[in-house]
Amino acid sequence: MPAMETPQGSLAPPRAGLVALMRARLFSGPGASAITLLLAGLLAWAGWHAVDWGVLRAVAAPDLAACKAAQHGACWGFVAEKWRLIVFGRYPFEQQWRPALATGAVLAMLVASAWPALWSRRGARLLVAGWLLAFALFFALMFGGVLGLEPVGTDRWGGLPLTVILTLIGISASAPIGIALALARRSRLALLRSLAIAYIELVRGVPLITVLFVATFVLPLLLPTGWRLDPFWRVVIGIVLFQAAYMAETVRGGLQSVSRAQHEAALSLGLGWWQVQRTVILPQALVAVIPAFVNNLLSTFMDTSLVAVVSMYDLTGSLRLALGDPRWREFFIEGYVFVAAIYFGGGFVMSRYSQWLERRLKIGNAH
Amino acid sequence: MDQGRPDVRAADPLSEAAAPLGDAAWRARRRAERTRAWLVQGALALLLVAVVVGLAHNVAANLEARQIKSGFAFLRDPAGFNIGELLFEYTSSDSYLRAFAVGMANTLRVALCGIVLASVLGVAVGFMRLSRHPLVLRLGAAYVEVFRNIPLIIQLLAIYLLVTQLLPESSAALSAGGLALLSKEGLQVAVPQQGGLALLWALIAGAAAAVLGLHAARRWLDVGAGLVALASGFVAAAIAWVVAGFVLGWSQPVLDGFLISGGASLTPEFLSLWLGLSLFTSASIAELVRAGAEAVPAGQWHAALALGMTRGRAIAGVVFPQALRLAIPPLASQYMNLIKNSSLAVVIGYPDLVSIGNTSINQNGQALEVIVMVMAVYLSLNLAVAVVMGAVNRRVTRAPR
Repeated sequence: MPAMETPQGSLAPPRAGLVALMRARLFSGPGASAITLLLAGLLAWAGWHAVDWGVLRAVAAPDLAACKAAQHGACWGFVAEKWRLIVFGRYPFEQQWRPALATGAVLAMLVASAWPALWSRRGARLLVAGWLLAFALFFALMFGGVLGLEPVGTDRWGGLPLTVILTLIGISASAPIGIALALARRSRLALLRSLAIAYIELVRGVPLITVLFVATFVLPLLLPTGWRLDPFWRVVIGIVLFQAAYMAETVRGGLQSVSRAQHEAALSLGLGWWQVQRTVILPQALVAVIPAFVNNLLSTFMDTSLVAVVSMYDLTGSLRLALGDPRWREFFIEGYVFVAAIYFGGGFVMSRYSQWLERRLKIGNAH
Repeated sequence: MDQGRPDVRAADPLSEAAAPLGDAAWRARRRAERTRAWLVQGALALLLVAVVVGLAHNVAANLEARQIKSGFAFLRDPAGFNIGELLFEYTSSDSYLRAFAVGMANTLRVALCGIVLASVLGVAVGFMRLSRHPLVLRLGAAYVEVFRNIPLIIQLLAIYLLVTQLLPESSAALSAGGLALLSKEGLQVAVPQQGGLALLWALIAGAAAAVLGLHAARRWLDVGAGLVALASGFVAAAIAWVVAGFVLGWSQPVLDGFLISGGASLTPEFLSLWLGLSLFTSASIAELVRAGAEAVPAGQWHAALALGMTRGRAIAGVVFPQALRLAIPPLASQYMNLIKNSSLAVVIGYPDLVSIGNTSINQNGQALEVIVMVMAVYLSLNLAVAVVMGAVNRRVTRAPR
């Protein structure tokens, strides 16, 4: 047994304990030690202040007087008082179980769609059926007028349900348009190709706000005289048209990842153009871009916050509505922390999911 | 000599003129395909014309019903509104065209400042993400996650409220040795008197230092030389500017009751937009820096260290030039995003192009014309970034791989 020993000790690499690891990384030299101490001090200071402000001295009850009295503490009372307005906007107060249920239904479908086991041919059919049902349920609950529900116009919709539905319509309606644009961009027909390129590059070159302005100010001019379109649907059209250009580029990335040989093999089997695209190219291309697709979903989710500029009361707009109350106005930090946490939660989950998918796809390709 | 040779062209099976391709059936199919392509495109063109004519008819009818005269003639009318932030002279009796020029100048100003600050912050945080120190690494990661996953509009509104609500009143402005005052009224900084002359000196000194830096750095760096030149240019310009201040005398911000006079002023709107845009974009730039550096194969690191290079030298001479190649195209699109995102100025009242456009639409209803103009400006700005970054990219990828 001494044969295994060298003057330095065992030949096997030493098992790095947590303490040893910390020492190697945090205190590897005088520079590293100084950075560690400095940052640790800074983090402790910031952390203590955050806890002191947000928990220890905070007022949780919706009590304005107590909030004003608490000098250096957060007033979560603002959120406690206004959360229904922030989350559901101006939807009639007693009816707010309807948007809650409707949003829950579509979010449940979203979670179900994120489960890769359902990405087979059969599962996809189930998912499509589920989505149609969820959308039908959403609009039935939100609009009302059926099953004895009181009708509610789109002008009263707001808060999280509005953000969620704008995101979901934005992504699901822009996907087919984006696929069509991507195919058109690779078409052999010069006119079709240049039209697709012009549209995609034009939309990608301008800010979303200008597209929303087009939807708000120009769209009514394009309709025949006397026709009217709710602001809600105008904004939906604006977001879909905007997102379609980005979706087209995402799909194009997928189309480019399918090797040319696949195309030629399918053609030599005697398949026509549509058959080649539908049965050979698109299935491979779309699977390859699922992570990018999730990133598109994430950016649509973030982008919907811009509808607040054209006077829609989505999560961002309804927060500003809640802060319009002069009594509570000074507690804007608490309100922004609340809404930012909702966006951050959604965004964080989606970006982590997309990273996980990407790794999973890479492992799948390696085999 | 050549006459004896057979004509190579005639034997080329790919030349259609000499020997037709394929058999008769194949050629017939091809002809049919071509005819169909023409038919489809003809139908498409007809459809397009029909849609455009129909929409134009609707627009004309709607404009007539609203009694709005279409066309760009309104640009010469007096705008009739004031603008809070001016880079050149403008009064409310000036034309709409001048108002749009002011808006465009404001957009350019915040976009340029934003691109510089976002790049500096982004590269710094990107290096944090590459650190071996766990605390530095995690801090960088947290920065990226927070600023990327909260919508820019929320960040802008929150920063603007923080600046305008939590900073002290101008009468109790935070002062940095009399050189800068920070308050609800924004940031006032001391500048050299005769600012134009000082700027000229700074530009000349910066250009000279950049040329010298380029020559000096080219000896030991290939791609990084441009960056060294840029950095030395900036530093020299800053030094020359400060020296000019001491020579010409300073114009300092002076507090008199509630009024601050003298110095150069940055409004709270500009500060909030600048900071918000830079923080939001720097998170994405940091990710690009990290992705670029991680894409450089580990063998390159090992080889550089095995040659006896220090860690810093290996980064500057081996890893960074290769990372830069990967990072430049996405960096260009981040800069374009920043320019487009600067249009969110409208939510905090910074008078950029979109805000001015919005105001004038509300005043005269010339929505179509204003939106076309605004979009054209953003498209050309994007084109300019594409051209500049394309040139940089060609320069960077010129070295053999």
